[in-house]
Amino acid sequence: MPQTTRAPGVARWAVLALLICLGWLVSVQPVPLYDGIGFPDEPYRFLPARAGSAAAGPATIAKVTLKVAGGVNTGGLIANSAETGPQVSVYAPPRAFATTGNNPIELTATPVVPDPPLPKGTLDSNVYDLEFTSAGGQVKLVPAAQTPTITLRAVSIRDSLPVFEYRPASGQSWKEVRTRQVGRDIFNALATAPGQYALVQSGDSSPSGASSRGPLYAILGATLLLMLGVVVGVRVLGRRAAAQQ
Amino acid sequence: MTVIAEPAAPAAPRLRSGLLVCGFALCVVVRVVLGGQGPARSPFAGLVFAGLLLALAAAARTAVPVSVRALASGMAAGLLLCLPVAVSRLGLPFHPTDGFAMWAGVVGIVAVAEEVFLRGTLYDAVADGFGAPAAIAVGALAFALLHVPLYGWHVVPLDLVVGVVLGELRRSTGTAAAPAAAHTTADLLAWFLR
Repeated sequence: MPQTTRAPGVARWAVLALLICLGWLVSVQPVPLYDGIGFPDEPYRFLPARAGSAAAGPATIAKVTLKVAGGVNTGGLIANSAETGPQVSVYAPPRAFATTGNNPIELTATPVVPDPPLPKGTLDSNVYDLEFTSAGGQVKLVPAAQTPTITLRAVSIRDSLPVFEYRPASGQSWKEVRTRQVGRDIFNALATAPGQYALVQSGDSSPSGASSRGPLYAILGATLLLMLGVVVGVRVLGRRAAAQQ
Repeated sequence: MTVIAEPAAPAAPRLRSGLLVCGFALCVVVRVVLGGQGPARSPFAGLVFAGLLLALAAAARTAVPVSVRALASGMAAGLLLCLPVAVSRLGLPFHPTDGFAMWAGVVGIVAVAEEVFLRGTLYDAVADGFGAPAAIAVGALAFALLHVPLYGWHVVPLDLVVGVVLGELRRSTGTAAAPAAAHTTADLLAWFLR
């Protein structure tokens, strides 16, 4: 089919660029995610380290320094830990943190050895201690601003989804936090306060075994047969169109 | 006043478009079933998906003329797609290249196959029956929905916009080679910008 080949107008491309920026703004995922194969994750780095684990090293910290002007942080930043893919990410929205003076604010999410009481269920991530600090003194969240978020990678992908649990400090009891799945094994929650965050599998979440794969193979076979039908249909229609021309 | 109804799209392009959309959906099903719990992380599922899309494109005898201009336009658009995240990451180190080569090979094949189908085969069929704007819209919608089982609903707004950009690139250059170059460029740069 002949196609138009006129040069795209600058205005049209400017609008498209604007749309892309808008798309990024409403996207919670901090990396380009247009397509392809997901980035391969390295084995989970546990704290404390597990015997026989293929982890490349100790679990790492996510840390970011926020510039402050007028007592609040000026720009939004994301802090990622160094693993591939990051085991913890913290999003600091602009003007979300307040402190005295113009000293920078440091956000850190540090993996810590979990101490009792442990959350009910099974930990599906390390426990991360989230801190907001500044040389200027106490750091407070600005209620009117967008709330910071914390994102954790789960150890494994299971049928049942893990939930975020939070406690203000070591030794205190855990409380479930509203959890949002933002990737196959990536989960996100509002970081409304400093303290400890972890992903927890609450129930029996053993992955489905080979016995449950039978229906999947049947679906696969039926789908491939249908695909064959589609291919034949497309070929027949193409031949008819060519004959009519 | 005489009202002249706009002629309806001929039946054959409509049927062909419908068949291709069904075929595309089936390809996604195969990818999800083969990929199991993490279809986005399965190179095998991705390659089978790419193979099925290329089979559909071959069945429809899709032509993808390649020119230096189209490839250059595509690569420029790929840079544009990555610009917002590149700006937001200014000053941060790039991700290391360990494991990049194999990943890039699979990602390149999947990206090109998707563009050959969505902005080649499907675009041609829909544009034949309904015009270029409809072809861009259908391609963008299919592109966005394709990623839902892989990454979740949160990718829809961004992927919808990216689909429109890739469709516009197809319309303006006249070939799926340009969006294929853009898609591949953006995907490969994504490795370094995460």
